[in-house]
Amino acid sequence: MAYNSFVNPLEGPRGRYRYVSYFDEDISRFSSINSFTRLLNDLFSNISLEYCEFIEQKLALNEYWQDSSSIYPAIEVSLLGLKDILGFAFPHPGEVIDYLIQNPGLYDVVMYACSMTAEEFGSTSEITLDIFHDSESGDRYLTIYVRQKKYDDDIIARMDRICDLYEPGLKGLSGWLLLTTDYKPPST
Amino acid sequence: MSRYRNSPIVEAVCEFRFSADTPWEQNLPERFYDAVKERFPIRESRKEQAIQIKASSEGVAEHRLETIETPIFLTGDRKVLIQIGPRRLSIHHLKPYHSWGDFKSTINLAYDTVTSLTRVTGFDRVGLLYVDKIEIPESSIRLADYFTFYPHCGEGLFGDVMNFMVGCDLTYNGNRDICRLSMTRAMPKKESNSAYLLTTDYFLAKRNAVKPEDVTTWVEEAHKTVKTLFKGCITEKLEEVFNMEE
Repeated sequence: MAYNSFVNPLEGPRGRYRYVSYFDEDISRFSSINSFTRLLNDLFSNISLEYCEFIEQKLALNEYWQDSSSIYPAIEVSLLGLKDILGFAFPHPGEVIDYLIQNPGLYDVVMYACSMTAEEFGSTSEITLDIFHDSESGDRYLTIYVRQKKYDDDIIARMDRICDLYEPGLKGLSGWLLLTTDYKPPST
Repeated sequence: MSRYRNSPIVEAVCEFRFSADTPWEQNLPERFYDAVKERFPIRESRKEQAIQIKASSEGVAEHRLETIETPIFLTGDRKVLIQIGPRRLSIHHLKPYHSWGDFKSTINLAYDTVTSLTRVTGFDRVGLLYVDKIEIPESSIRLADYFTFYPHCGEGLFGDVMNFMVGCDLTYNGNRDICRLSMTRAMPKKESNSAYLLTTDYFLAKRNAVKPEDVTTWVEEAHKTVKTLFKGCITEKLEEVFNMEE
Protein backbone atom coordinates (compact mmCIF):
# COMPACT_ATOMS: atom_id res chain seq x y z
CA MET A 1 0.00 0.00 0.00
CA ALA A 2 1.03 3.63 -0.33
CA TYR A 3 0.80 6.36 2.23
CA ASN A 4 1.81 9.99 2.25
CA SER A 5 4.02 11.75 4.71
CA PHE A 6 3.52 15.51 4.58
CA VAL A 7 6.74 17.28 5.51
CA ASN A 8 6.16 20.94 6.10
CA PRO A 9 9.11 23.27 6.70
CA LEU A 10 6.99 25.12 9.21
CA GLU A 11 6.44 22.08 11.32
CA GLY A 12 9.45 19.89 10.62
CA PRO A 13 9.32 16.11 10.83
CA ARG A 14 8.33 16.22 14.45
CA GLY A 15 7.40 12.58 14.66
CA ARG A 16 11.04 11.67 14.40
CA TYR A 17 12.00 13.51 17.52
CA ARG A 18 10.47 10.81 19.64
CA TYR A 19 13.53 8.77 18.75
CA VAL A 20 16.74 10.59 19.38
CA SER A 21 18.77 8.26 17.16
CA TYR A 22 16.77 9.29 14.07
CA PHE A 23 17.35 12.91 14.83
CA ASP A 24 21.10 12.28 15.18
CA GLU A 25 21.18 10.80 11.71
CA ASP A 26 19.33 13.77 10.25
CA ILE A 27 21.92 16.16 11.53
CA SER A 28 25.08 14.22 10.91
CA ARG A 29 24.48 12.88 7.44
CA PHE A 30 25.44 14.71 4.31
CA SER A 31 22.28 15.91 2.59
CA SER A 32 22.55 14.19 -0.76
CA ILE A 33 19.90 12.16 -2.56
CA ASN A 34 21.77 8.96 -1.71
CA SER A 35 21.83 9.80 1.97
CA PHE A 36 18.18 10.70 1.83
CA THR A 37 17.26 7.39 0.21
CA ARG A 38 19.32 5.55 2.81
CA LEU A 39 17.60 7.49 5.58
CA LEU A 40 14.16 6.64 4.19
CA ASN A 41 15.10 2.99 4.15
CA ASP A 42 16.52 3.16 7.66
CA LEU A 43 13.38 4.84 8.92
CA PHE A 44 10.77 2.74 7.19
CA SER A 45 12.19 -0.58 6.01
CA ASN A 46 11.55 -2.48 9.22
CA ILE A 47 8.38 -0.84 10.37
CA SER A 48 6.50 -0.05 7.20
CA LEU A 49 3.89 -2.78 7.32
CA GLU A 50 3.28 -2.37 11.03
CA TYR A 51 2.97 1.35 10.55
CA CYS A 52 0.63 1.00 7.58
CA GLU A 53 -1.57 -1.35 9.62
CA PHE A 54 -1.59 1.14 12.47
CA ILE A 55 -2.65 3.93 10.11
CA GLU A 56 -5.32 1.71 8.54
CA GLN A 57 -6.76 0.97 11.98
CA LYS A 58 -6.82 4.64 12.84
CA LEU A 59 -8.52 5.52 9.57
CA ALA A 60 -11.06 2.71 10.07
CA LEU A 61 -11.91 4.23 13.45
CA ASN A 62 -12.14 7.64 11.79
CA GLU A 63 -9.27 8.84 13.98
CA TYR A 64 -6.65 11.37 13.05
CA TRP A 65 -3.56 11.48 15.24
CA GLN A 66 -1.10 13.71 13.45
CA ASP A 67 0.73 16.49 15.29
CA SER A 68 -0.15 20.15 14.82
CA SER A 69 1.99 22.27 12.54
CA SER A 70 4.54 24.18 14.53
CA ILE A 71 7.61 26.22 13.74
CA TYR A 72 9.50 26.26 16.98
CA PRO A 73 10.30 22.73 18.22
CA ALA A 74 12.04 21.52 15.06
CA ILE A 75 14.33 24.55 14.97
CA GLU A 76 15.15 24.36 18.65
CA VAL A 77 15.95 20.65 18.61
CA SER A 78 18.00 20.92 15.41
CA LEU A 79 20.17 23.71 16.79
CA LEU A 80 20.70 21.73 19.96
CA GLY A 81 21.84 18.85 17.74
CA LEU A 82 24.29 21.10 15.91
CA LYS A 83 25.73 22.15 19.27
CA ASP A 84 25.82 18.82 21.07
CA ILE A 85 26.56 16.45 18.20
CA LEU A 86 28.52 18.48 15.65
CA GLY A 87 30.16 20.86 18.13
CA PHE A 88 28.86 24.14 16.67
CA ALA A 89 29.34 27.25 18.83
CA PHE A 90 26.41 29.61 19.46
CA PRO A 91 27.50 32.89 21.08
CA HIS A 92 23.94 34.28 20.82
CA PRO A 93 21.57 31.31 20.55
CA GLY A 94 18.45 33.34 21.33
CA GLU A 95 19.07 35.70 18.39
CA VAL A 96 19.74 32.81 16.01
CA ILE A 97 16.52 31.07 17.02
CA ASP A 98 14.51 34.30 16.70
CA TYR A 99 15.96 34.94 13.22
CA LEU A 100 15.02 31.45 12.06
CA ILE A 101 11.56 31.68 13.61
CA GLN A 102 10.81 34.98 11.93
CA ASN A 103 12.12 33.75 8.58
CA PRO A 104 10.77 30.20 8.74
CA GLY A 105 11.60 29.15 5.18
CA LEU A 106 15.27 29.66 5.96
CA TYR A 107 15.51 26.75 8.36
CA ASP A 108 15.89 23.97 5.78
CA VAL A 109 18.59 25.85 3.88
CA VAL A 110 20.49 26.62 7.09
CA MET A 111 20.47 22.99 8.16
CA TYR A 112 21.66 21.97 4.70
CA ALA A 113 24.49 24.53 4.76
CA CYS A 114 25.49 23.60 8.32
CA SER A 115 25.61 19.89 7.42
CA MET A 116 27.89 20.59 4.45
CA THR A 117 30.09 22.94 6.47
CA ALA A 118 30.48 20.35 9.22
CA GLU A 119 31.32 17.71 6.61
CA GLU A 120 33.96 19.93 5.01
CA PHE A 121 35.47 21.69 8.04
CA GLY A 122 34.19 19.93 11.14
CA SER A 123 37.36 17.99 11.91
CA THR A 124 39.78 20.91 11.48
CA SER A 125 37.86 24.04 12.43
CA GLU A 126 35.59 25.72 14.91
CA ILE A 127 32.19 26.42 13.34
CA THR A 128 30.04 29.17 14.80
CA LEU A 129 26.45 30.07 13.94
CA ASP A 130 25.69 33.66 14.86
CA ILE A 131 23.97 36.85 13.74
CA PHE A 132 26.02 39.45 11.90
CA HIS A 133 24.85 43.05 12.42
CA ASP A 134 25.76 45.35 9.56
CA SER A 135 26.18 48.68 11.34
CA GLU A 136 26.03 50.71 8.10
CA SER A 137 22.83 49.28 6.62
CA GLY A 138 21.28 48.12 9.88
CA ASP A 139 20.65 44.70 8.31
CA ARG A 140 21.12 41.43 10.14
CA TYR A 141 22.28 38.18 8.56
CA LEU A 142 22.59 34.69 9.88
CA THR A 143 26.27 33.81 9.55
CA ILE A 144 28.32 30.63 9.71
CA TYR A 145 31.91 31.45 10.70
CA VAL A 146 34.70 28.93 10.08
CA ARG A 147 37.76 29.53 12.27
CA GLN A 148 41.03 27.59 12.18
CA LYS A 149 44.20 27.59 14.28
CA LYS A 150 46.26 27.67 11.09
CA TYR A 151 44.23 28.79 8.11
CA ASP A 152 44.20 26.53 5.03
CA ASP A 153 45.21 28.29 1.79
CA ASP A 154 42.11 27.03 -0.01
CA ILE A 155 39.59 27.85 2.73
CA ILE A 156 37.78 30.48 0.63
CA ALA A 157 37.50 28.22 -2.42
CA ARG A 158 36.10 25.42 -0.25
CA MET A 159 33.57 27.76 1.35
CA ASP A 160 32.58 29.09 -2.08
CA ARG A 161 31.79 25.55 -3.25
CA ILE A 162 29.40 25.14 -0.30
CA CYS A 163 27.81 28.57 -0.97
CA ASP A 164 27.18 27.55 -4.58
CA LEU A 165 25.19 24.58 -3.33
CA TYR A 166 22.97 26.26 -0.74
CA GLU A 167 22.51 29.81 -2.08
CA PRO A 168 19.99 28.83 -4.80
CA GLY A 169 17.76 27.65 -1.94
CA LEU A 170 17.66 31.19 -0.52
CA LYS A 171 15.99 32.59 -3.63
CA GLY A 172 12.62 34.11 -2.80
CA LEU A 173 13.09 33.76 0.97
CA SER A 174 13.25 36.52 3.52
CA GLY A 175 16.47 36.58 5.52
CA TRP A 176 19.95 35.58 4.34
CA LEU A 177 22.74 33.19 5.28
CA LEU A 178 26.46 33.91 4.94
CA LEU A 179 29.29 31.41 5.14
CA THR A 180 32.56 33.17 5.86
CA THR A 181 35.63 33.46 8.05
CA ASP A 182 36.95 36.46 9.96
CA TYR A 183 40.42 34.86 10.26
CA LYS A 184 40.21 35.00 14.04
CA PRO A 185 41.60 32.07 16.02
CA PRO A 186 39.10 29.55 17.43
CA SER A 187 37.72 30.56 20.81
CA THR A 188 38.71 27.23 22.39
CA MET B 1 -0.35 31.14 30.63
CA SER B 2 0.42 34.74 29.77
CA ARG B 3 -0.18 36.23 33.21
CA TYR B 4 3.50 35.92 34.10
CA ARG B 5 6.00 38.75 33.93
CA ASN B 6 8.16 36.58 31.63
CA SER B 7 5.73 34.49 29.64
CA PRO B 8 7.35 31.22 28.52
CA ILE B 9 5.14 30.97 25.39
CA VAL B 10 7.32 31.06 22.28
CA GLU B 11 4.69 29.88 19.81
CA ALA B 12 0.93 29.32 19.80
CA VAL B 13 -0.73 27.59 16.85
CA CYS B 14 -4.34 27.02 15.91
CA GLU B 15 -4.76 24.76 12.91
CA PHE B 16 -7.78 23.66 10.90
CA ARG B 17 -7.60 20.79 8.43
CA PHE B 18 -10.85 20.83 6.52
CA SER B 19 -12.62 17.69 5.33
CA ALA B 20 -11.99 16.40 1.82
CA ASP B 21 -15.45 17.45 0.59
CA THR B 22 -14.89 21.11 1.51
CA PRO B 23 -14.70 22.98 -1.83
CA TRP B 24 -11.22 24.52 -2.23
CA GLU B 25 -10.71 26.61 -5.36
CA GLN B 26 -7.19 27.17 -6.57
CA ASN B 27 -7.38 30.94 -6.13
CA LEU B 28 -8.67 30.75 -2.55
CA PRO B 29 -5.32 31.80 -0.99
CA GLU B 30 -5.25 34.80 -3.32
CA ARG B 31 -8.75 35.86 -2.28
CA PHE B 32 -7.89 35.18 1.35
CA TYR B 33 -4.90 37.52 1.09
CA ASP B 34 -7.05 40.28 -0.40
CA ALA B 35 -9.34 40.02 2.62
CA VAL B 36 -6.60 40.08 5.31
CA LYS B 37 -3.80 42.13 3.74
CA GLU B 38 -4.45 45.17 5.90
CA ARG B 39 -3.49 43.19 9.01
CA PHE B 40 -1.12 40.75 7.23
CA PRO B 41 0.67 42.84 4.60
CA ILE B 42 3.74 40.63 4.08
CA ARG B 43 3.23 37.84 1.63
CA GLU B 44 5.72 35.01 1.24
CA SER B 45 5.66 31.39 0.27
CA ARG B 46 7.30 28.28 1.61
CA LYS B 47 8.45 25.28 -0.32
CA GLU B 48 7.01 22.12 1.16
CA GLN B 49 8.30 18.68 0.34
CA ALA B 50 5.63 16.00 0.02
CA ILE B 51 6.94 12.45 0.04
CA GLN B 52 5.00 9.47 -1.21
CA ILE B 53 6.43 6.12 -0.17
CA LYS B 54 5.35 2.72 -1.41
CA ALA B 55 6.09 0.11 1.20
CA SER B 56 5.99 -3.66 0.92
CA SER B 57 7.22 -6.59 2.98
CA GLU B 58 10.60 -6.02 1.30
CA GLY B 59 10.80 -2.49 2.74
CA VAL B 60 10.57 0.75 0.77
CA ALA B 61 9.72 -0.16 -2.82
CA GLU B 62 9.79 3.38 -4.21
CA HIS B 63 9.38 6.94 -3.14
CA ARG B 64 8.43 10.15 -4.90
CA LEU B 65 9.23 13.71 -3.90
CA GLU B 66 7.02 16.62 -4.79
CA THR B 67 7.60 20.31 -4.06
CA ILE B 68 4.56 22.39 -3.13
CA GLU B 69 4.55 26.16 -2.64
CA THR B 70 2.43 27.24 0.30
CA PRO B 71 1.48 30.90 0.78
CA ILE B 72 2.28 32.56 4.13
CA PHE B 73 0.91 35.92 5.23
CA LEU B 74 2.67 37.82 8.02
CA THR B 75 2.06 40.92 10.11
CA GLY B 76 4.49 43.81 9.66
CA ASP B 77 6.51 42.78 12.72
CA ARG B 78 6.56 39.10 11.55
CA LYS B 79 5.24 37.95 14.94
CA VAL B 80 1.93 36.56 13.68
CA LEU B 81 1.54 34.54 10.51
CA ILE B 82 -1.09 32.59 8.64
CA GLN B 83 -0.32 29.61 6.50
CA ILE B 84 -2.92 28.48 4.00
CA GLY B 85 -2.52 25.23 2.10
CA PRO B 86 -5.01 22.95 0.38
CA ARG B 87 -7.89 22.53 2.87
CA ARG B 88 -5.55 23.61 5.60
CA LEU B 89 -5.30 26.80 7.63
CA SER B 90 -2.93 27.50 10.50
CA ILE B 91 -2.49 30.63 12.56
CA HIS B 92 0.85 31.04 14.37
CA HIS B 93 1.54 33.57 17.11
CA LEU B 94 5.20 33.92 18.06
CA LYS B 95 6.56 35.63 21.18
CA PRO B 96 5.69 37.99 22.70
CA TYR B 97 2.31 36.36 23.26
CA HIS B 98 0.11 38.93 24.97
CA SER B 99 -3.20 37.25 25.67
CA TRP B 100 -5.64 34.57 24.63
CA GLY B 101 -8.09 37.31 23.70
CA ASP B 102 -5.66 38.71 21.09
CA PHE B 103 -4.84 35.29 19.68
CA LYS B 104 -8.49 34.24 19.60
CA SER B 105 -9.48 37.31 17.62
CA THR B 106 -6.77 36.49 15.04
CA ILE B 107 -8.01 32.89 14.86
CA ASN B 108 -11.56 34.12 14.34
CA LEU B 109 -10.46 36.58 11.66
CA ALA B 110 -8.67 33.85 9.69
CA TYR B 111 -11.38 31.23 10.14
CA ASP B 112 -14.24 33.62 9.33
CA THR B 113 -12.38 34.75 6.22
CA VAL B 114 -12.13 31.15 5.00
CA THR B 115 -15.81 30.52 5.69
CA SER B 116 -16.68 33.67 3.72
CA LEU B 117 -14.79 32.27 0.73
CA THR B 118 -15.90 28.64 0.78
CA ARG B 119 -18.43 26.34 2.40
CA VAL B 120 -16.69 24.44 5.20
CA THR B 121 -18.38 21.04 5.48
CA GLY B 122 -16.35 19.54 8.32
CA PHE B 123 -12.94 18.96 9.85
CA ASP B 124 -10.42 16.17 9.56
CA ARG B 125 -8.61 17.76 12.46
CA VAL B 126 -8.54 20.90 14.56
CA GLY B 127 -5.62 21.60 16.88
CA LEU B 128 -4.51 24.15 19.42
CA LEU B 129 -0.85 23.97 20.32
CA TYR B 130 1.32 25.92 22.74
CA VAL B 131 5.11 25.72 22.86
CA ASP B 132 6.63 26.99 26.10
CA LYS B 133 10.34 27.53 26.44
CA ILE B 134 11.31 27.39 30.07
CA GLU B 135 14.66 28.84 31.03
CA ILE B 136 15.95 28.38 34.57
CA PRO B 137 18.97 30.39 35.74
CA GLU B 138 20.91 27.35 37.01
CA SER B 139 23.13 24.99 35.00
CA SER B 140 22.08 21.90 36.91
CA ILE B 141 18.66 21.47 38.43
CA ARG B 142 16.50 18.80 40.00
CA LEU B 143 13.57 18.55 37.56
CA ALA B 144 11.16 17.65 40.36
CA ASP B 145 11.72 21.06 41.92
CA TYR B 146 10.28 22.80 38.87
CA PHE B 147 8.07 20.27 37.09
CA THR B 148 5.44 17.76 37.99
CA PHE B 149 5.73 16.28 34.47
CA TYR B 150 9.25 14.98 33.84
CA PRO B 151 11.11 11.72 33.14
CA HIS B 152 11.60 9.54 36.18
CA CYS B 153 14.83 7.56 36.35
CA GLY B 154 14.75 4.84 38.97
CA GLU B 155 17.51 4.13 41.46
CA GLY B 156 18.91 1.39 39.23
CA LEU B 157 19.78 3.87 36.52
CA PHE B 158 23.10 5.62 36.84
CA GLY B 159 24.86 8.35 34.86
CA ASP B 160 23.88 11.93 34.21
CA VAL B 161 20.92 12.56 31.92
CA MET B 162 22.17 14.51 28.89
CA ASN B 163 19.04 14.51 26.72
CA PHE B 164 15.52 13.34 27.26
CA MET B 165 12.12 13.43 25.68
CA VAL B 166 9.03 12.61 27.65
CA GLY B 167 5.49 12.60 26.34
CA CYS B 168 2.02 11.29 26.88
CA ASP B 169 -1.38 11.48 25.23
CA LEU B 170 -4.30 12.39 27.47
CA THR B 171 -7.84 11.87 26.21
CA TYR B 172 -10.92 14.03 26.73
CA ASN B 173 -14.60 13.95 25.83
CA GLY B 174 -14.81 10.19 25.38
CA ASN B 175 -11.61 9.96 23.28
CA ARG B 176 -12.89 12.59 20.85
CA ASP B 177 -10.04 14.94 21.80
CA ILE B 178 -6.42 14.22 22.68
CA CYS B 179 -3.84 16.42 24.32
CA ARG B 180 -0.30 15.39 23.44
CA LEU B 181 1.98 16.61 26.16
CA SER B 182 5.72 16.51 25.62
CA MET B 183 8.85 17.89 27.18
CA THR B 184 12.43 17.93 25.96
CA ARG B 185 15.67 19.76 26.56
CA ALA B 186 16.16 23.08 24.76
CA MET B 187 18.95 25.50 23.92
CA PRO B 188 19.60 27.89 26.84
CA LYS B 189 20.30 31.57 26.18
CA LYS B 190 23.29 31.36 28.52
CA GLU B 191 25.59 28.42 29.23
CA SER B 192 24.85 28.91 32.91
CA ASN B 193 21.10 28.27 32.38
CA SER B 194 19.01 25.15 31.90
CA ALA B 195 16.29 25.22 29.23
CA TYR B 196 13.33 22.99 28.40
CA LEU B 197 10.59 22.92 25.79
CA LEU B 198 7.13 21.99 27.02
CA THR B 199 4.57 21.40 24.28
CA THR B 200 0.82 20.98 24.72
CA ASP B 201 -0.93 19.93 21.52
CA TYR B 202 -4.70 19.60 22.01
CA PHE B 203 -6.47 18.22 18.95
CA LEU B 204 -9.63 16.71 17.60
CA ALA B 205 -8.78 13.04 17.13
CA LYS B 206 -11.97 11.95 15.35
CA ARG B 207 -12.81 13.30 11.93
CA ASN B 208 -15.97 15.36 11.62
CA ALA B 209 -16.74 15.03 15.33
CA VAL B 210 -17.20 18.79 15.58
CA LYS B 211 -19.56 20.73 13.32
CA PRO B 212 -18.35 23.95 11.66
CA GLU B 213 -20.83 26.02 13.68
CA ASP B 214 -19.41 24.57 16.94
CA VAL B 215 -15.72 24.94 16.20
CA THR B 216 -15.31 28.28 17.98
CA THR B 217 -16.63 26.71 21.17
CA TRP B 218 -14.30 23.74 20.66
CA VAL B 219 -11.28 26.06 20.38
CA GLU B 220 -12.32 27.94 23.53
CA GLU B 221 -12.65 24.70 25.50
CA ALA B 222 -9.34 23.45 24.11
CA HIS B 223 -7.67 26.59 25.41
CA LYS B 224 -9.13 26.10 28.88
CA THR B 225 -7.83 22.53 28.99
CA VAL B 226 -4.38 23.45 27.72
CA LYS B 227 -4.11 26.24 30.27
CA THR B 228 -5.08 23.90 33.11
CA LEU B 229 -2.66 21.24 31.89
CA PHE B 230 0.22 23.68 31.72
CA LYS B 231 -0.43 24.77 35.28
CA GLY B 232 -0.55 21.10 36.23
CA CYS B 233 2.89 20.46 34.72
CA ILE B 234 4.81 23.01 36.77
CA THR B 235 5.52 23.83 40.39
CA GLU B 236 5.17 27.09 42.28
CA LYS B 237 8.96 27.38 42.23
CA LEU B 238 8.87 27.56 38.44
CA GLU B 239 6.10 30.16 38.54
CA GLU B 240 8.47 32.26 40.65
CA VAL B 241 11.03 32.01 37.83
CA PHE B 242 8.41 33.28 35.36
CA ASN B 243 7.78 36.26 37.58
CA MET B 244 11.43 37.14 38.26
CA GLU B 245 12.86 40.50 37.11
CA GLU B 246 15.01 39.88 34.01
